[in-house]
Amino acid sequence: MMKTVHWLAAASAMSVLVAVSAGQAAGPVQVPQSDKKVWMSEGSERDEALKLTPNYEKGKEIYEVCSACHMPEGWGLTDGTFPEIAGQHRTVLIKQLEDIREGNRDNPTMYPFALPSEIGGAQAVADVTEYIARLPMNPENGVGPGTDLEHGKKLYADNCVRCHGEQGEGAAEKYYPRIQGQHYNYLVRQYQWIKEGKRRNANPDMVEQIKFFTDKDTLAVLDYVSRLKPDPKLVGPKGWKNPDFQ
Amino acid sequence: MTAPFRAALLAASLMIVPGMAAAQQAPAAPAAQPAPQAAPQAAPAPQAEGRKLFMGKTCVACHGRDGSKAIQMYPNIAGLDAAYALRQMDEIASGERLSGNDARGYPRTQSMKDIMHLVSAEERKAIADWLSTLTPPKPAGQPADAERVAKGKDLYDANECAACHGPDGKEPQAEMPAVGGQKREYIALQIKEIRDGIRKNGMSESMVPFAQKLSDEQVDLVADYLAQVDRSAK
Repeated sequence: MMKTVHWLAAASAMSVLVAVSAGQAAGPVQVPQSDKKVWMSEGSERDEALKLTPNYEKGKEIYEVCSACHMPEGWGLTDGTFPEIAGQHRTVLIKQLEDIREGNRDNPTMYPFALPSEIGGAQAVADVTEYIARLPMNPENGVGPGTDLEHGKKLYADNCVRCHGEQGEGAAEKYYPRIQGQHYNYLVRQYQWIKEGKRRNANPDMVEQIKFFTDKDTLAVLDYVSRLKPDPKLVGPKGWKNPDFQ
Repeated sequence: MTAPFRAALLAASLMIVPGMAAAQQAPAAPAAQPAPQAAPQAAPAPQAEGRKLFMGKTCVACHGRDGSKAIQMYPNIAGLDAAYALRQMDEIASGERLSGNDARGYPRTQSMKDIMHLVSAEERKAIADWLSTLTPPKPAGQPADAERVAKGKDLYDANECAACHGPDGKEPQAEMPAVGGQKREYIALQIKEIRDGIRKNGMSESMVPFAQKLSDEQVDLVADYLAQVDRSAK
């Protein structure tokens, strides 16, 4: 019985990986705007946004459009289509928004919503990321099958702690994201894209670090990560609904 | 590769459907809560359900409240024929409906294609049915000057567009889109992309001989004309 469960779990996980490697969907031929890989762009609006004093109330107004996909709570979807962004480091949120805006990170669905014409300039970025960073996190994020956690734990300790921290808490000042509490399927997709170079704004040290990870390694370590718990102070109650958008 | 993983990879390659994997619900940590026993109630009115889905499945983000305030060059979709709307959803999802690229180099339909796995067949139908009940919005944006509008109308009439799309683009044949009052930029893009063989889904291929009679300049005139047609008044 256990063998069947493992097989099915492995199959569903592998199907995630294979589909991700195929570019998530067999669609029209992608013509990437650029092959340029940039971890930290120069002269970016990012630096400007970071210096501005954020307005939390304005951030809440701006967030309404983001809530359509990231949900009012900022928890995204447990199937990983949209990541949880609640409780992410503000520096990371600003960087990713700006990277999508500047074309350093490809995200067709999100691209219009990162545009100044839709959400505003540097101040808007400063405002909305303040709001998002302060949202409580989801206590029930999507996790992996739980079949290879010992292996995942060891891989994490040997490869990931250095940047993402013991608990996957990341490092705000270095723009290393908080990965604890993130949806497993989203982690898998981003990790694969970082590994393959499809996520062009990836940190080159990470690309190097995970170069030799097998698919089994990938799924194991990310399953482990998906189960790392943030500080309880950062986490909301189960089934919490954001009163700002009721 | 061990035997179980080889088997898993084979299973995976057979299972792959675009976007399906992303929809896989990874098993969550056990949260043993029985489903609440609600008192039996009438199913929600179909229209309420369609609206709820429209709001909850991200459609509202791009097409705007009531499908009437679309952002960027995305179309307003309020008041579309239900069968046509459903077909567009299915064909964008399947990749049968293609488009040119935006300024960033992404196919314009990609942003929608990438989330359609979130919407089941029944849900798509409910959304399409709801959309068809809505009053289309008043024409948006500044109307083009009267001379352009007049030239556009002449072209529309002379080119027999009304045969499928109806006079003034207001009352199309069954399962065709109403083009009157649609956003100018969107109309122009669709005519050009159908003309140039980029978009070929559904009945659009039958439109090619008509569209091929129009230069870019003429397409823009037709778009100027159609964009100011008011379908909101019944």
